[in-house]
Amino acid sequence: MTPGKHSRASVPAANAGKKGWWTTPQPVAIMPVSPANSRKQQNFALSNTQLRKSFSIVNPVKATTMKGYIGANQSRMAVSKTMVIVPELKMAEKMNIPSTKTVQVFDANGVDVTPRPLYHPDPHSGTAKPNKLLTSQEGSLGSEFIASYSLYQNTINPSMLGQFTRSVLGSSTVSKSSASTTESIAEDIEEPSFKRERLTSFTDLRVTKATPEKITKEDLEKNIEIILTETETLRFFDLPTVMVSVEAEEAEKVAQRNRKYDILCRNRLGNDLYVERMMQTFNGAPKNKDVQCEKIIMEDKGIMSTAWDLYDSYNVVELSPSSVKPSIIESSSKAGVLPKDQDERSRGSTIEKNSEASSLMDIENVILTKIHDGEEDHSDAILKSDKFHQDLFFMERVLMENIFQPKLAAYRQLPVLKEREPEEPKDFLESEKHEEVVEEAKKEEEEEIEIGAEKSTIPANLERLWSFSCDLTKGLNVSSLAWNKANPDLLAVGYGHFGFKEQKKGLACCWSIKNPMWPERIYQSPFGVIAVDFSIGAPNLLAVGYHNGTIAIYNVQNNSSVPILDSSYIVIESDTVIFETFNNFLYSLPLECSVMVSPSSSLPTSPINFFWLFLDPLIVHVANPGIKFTTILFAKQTDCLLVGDSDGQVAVYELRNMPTSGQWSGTGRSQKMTSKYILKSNLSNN
Amino acid sequence: MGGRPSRSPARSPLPHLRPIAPGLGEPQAEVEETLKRIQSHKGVIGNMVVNAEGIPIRTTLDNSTTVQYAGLLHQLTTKARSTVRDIDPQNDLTFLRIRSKKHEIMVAPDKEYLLIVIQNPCE
Repeated sequence: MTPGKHSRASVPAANAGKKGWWTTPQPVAIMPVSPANSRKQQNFALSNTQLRKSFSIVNPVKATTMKGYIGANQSRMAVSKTMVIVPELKMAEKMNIPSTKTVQVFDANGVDVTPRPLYHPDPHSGTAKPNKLLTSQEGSLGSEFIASYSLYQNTINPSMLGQFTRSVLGSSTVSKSSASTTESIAEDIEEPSFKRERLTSFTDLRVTKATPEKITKEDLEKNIEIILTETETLRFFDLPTVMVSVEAEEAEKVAQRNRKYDILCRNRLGNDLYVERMMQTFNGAPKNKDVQCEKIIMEDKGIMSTAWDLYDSYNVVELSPSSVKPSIIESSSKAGVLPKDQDERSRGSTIEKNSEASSLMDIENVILTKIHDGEEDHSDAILKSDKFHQDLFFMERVLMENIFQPKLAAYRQLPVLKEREPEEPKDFLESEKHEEVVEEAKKEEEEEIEIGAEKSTIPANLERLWSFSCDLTKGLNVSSLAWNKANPDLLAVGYGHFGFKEQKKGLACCWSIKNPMWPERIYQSPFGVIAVDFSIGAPNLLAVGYHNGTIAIYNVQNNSSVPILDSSYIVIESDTVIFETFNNFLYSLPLECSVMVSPSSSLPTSPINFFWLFLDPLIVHVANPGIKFTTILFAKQTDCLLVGDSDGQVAVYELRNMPTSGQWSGTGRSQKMTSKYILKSNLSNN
Repeated sequence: MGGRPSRSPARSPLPHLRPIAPGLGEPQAEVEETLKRIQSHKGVIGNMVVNAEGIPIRTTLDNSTTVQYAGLLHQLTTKARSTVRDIDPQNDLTFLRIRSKKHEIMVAPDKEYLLIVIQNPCE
């Protein structure tokens, strides 16, 4: 381009520029044109001499918008001009000073007031890459800009960096301070080159970013020692007291001063000694400074302390050797995490962190993500633990109680309370309801009276409550029954055939009233059981007599299936089996019929060698076809009767409406019988 | 006493007599048997054994129901135990029964597990 042409082209631009220039009512900063200045200006595409002279600050970035975009440049320049508010020598100096020298700012008195930078980048973090970027754009940027940019890269001049910090730290939140020329210039510079700088800053940051170390499992499980020490006392606030106790030592002095002050206040008005006057003080220019710190991570932890929690904590010292055992499972493969959790839970305190089961989703997630290997050992241990066995035992008993509740209540002779009629219709009025209740009560009374009358007319009967039987005992023949001497709820039943012809395997069971569906103890044997009895002296010993003539003695306290004693010196008679129990002799009678005497009689308990027979039986109870009744036993303290049959069932019958001795008018000798009944079961006929 | 002299003079331990109660050789099997028996009782809807974290070890109900029962009953058991022990720290909760219109829930709690049985007693 010839200069002439250029100038021609620039004339209208100049006019336009002039216009633009004149319209903006801004003071023009007239600067002495230093050689450096002119050098800078020559970089501009514009050859507008007027403009060159008048502009003090050159924005080298504008050089990108070159020859073609004159108008825009001009407007830009106008804009840039508006930015220049305060002409300060030092600003220009800052821009013009070559890169190698550190920039220093001096105020009018020559005091060094160089602002210290907020950002100190790592001098070793720079790489070759950003430099490449820089060299490619060299042509478009002004030399000064390059210089300043390289400054940034080399990080030699920290004060210069202060200007460009905002663009570098694009992502961090750099606060906006009050409007100052440095900021405005930086903003300007920032606009078009922001992206470029951002890129470099990003690459810069990317390079320096350190990869986080992998945390291994051992690191997690490592015991980290945290030592807490007391720091020195820091005083944040000190508010001295303005009140002194009347009894303090200095009270007198303080009171005196107070009195003097009172007098002073009163004398103030009109006194020459006291003059009121206004004053104005100079307030220094405040400067805001913001500080940024890393995020402080906070953690909440709560604990609920209860009375029993404290009790446990007090006792944990005593129990520590023994509590370790239940909490640590024998087969603990991953014992690291589990017992700790259990200890926490064993305290019973509800720590917020361990708030499990808070929502269905949480639990399901836990179940889904749980590793089953470690858990299986643990669950096996639970299933094998003694406590679990005990709990199962209790649970079964509770279930039995639920199922057999009315029967057991009848057995225990508990009074039967009549249940209210369920759910009357709701549209009854209150008064009507009340009337009904009264009526019902009356009816009940009447019914009871009736029943009472009926009772006397209903003949004695047996009501079957339940029967002891299970899969094991099906088909076996009940051969003997015996109550435990110490525990009236414990019953021993022996299963075995009497005849010699068919001999199945024998069974001796201990049943409890509280569980009629499964025996408490099961003792199997290849021989049929003929007789069972509990010892009186040691009620936990059960003697079992077998068909082959042997006896075994079991200790029913533990669950072992091995007898503690067995002997074989018993004679088997043809039709009687005799066996010896502790302190008591029991003869078994001819097997055709067995007779028992109710224990509530007042007869002496010498060997029974006499029978009482009724000629007219009071109750006749016929067994089911094909089944014979084989044994009979009375229950103590209750009007119940146990009957064993040949199908392995021991049925419990309640004797109802049995006539008392007063009403009794039977044959046979009566010797002070309060409630004595004799039954005969004819085995052969049934 | 015995009438005639015994036929077998030697008092040797019975070789044939080896009473073995069913399932006692292996406690695990006994537990399983007991649980099965409980399930077969009249009116029992379901039973489950849940560990302290709410994960079912054994259950006869479907998973979602089990998880629901486990979560809810765990909270209730904790509360009940806390109540009992607050009154007397030397006391402790042994059994919890919740009877409702439709059925009864029985819970045998422990530090490590919960044994839960649901029964309909009115059948």
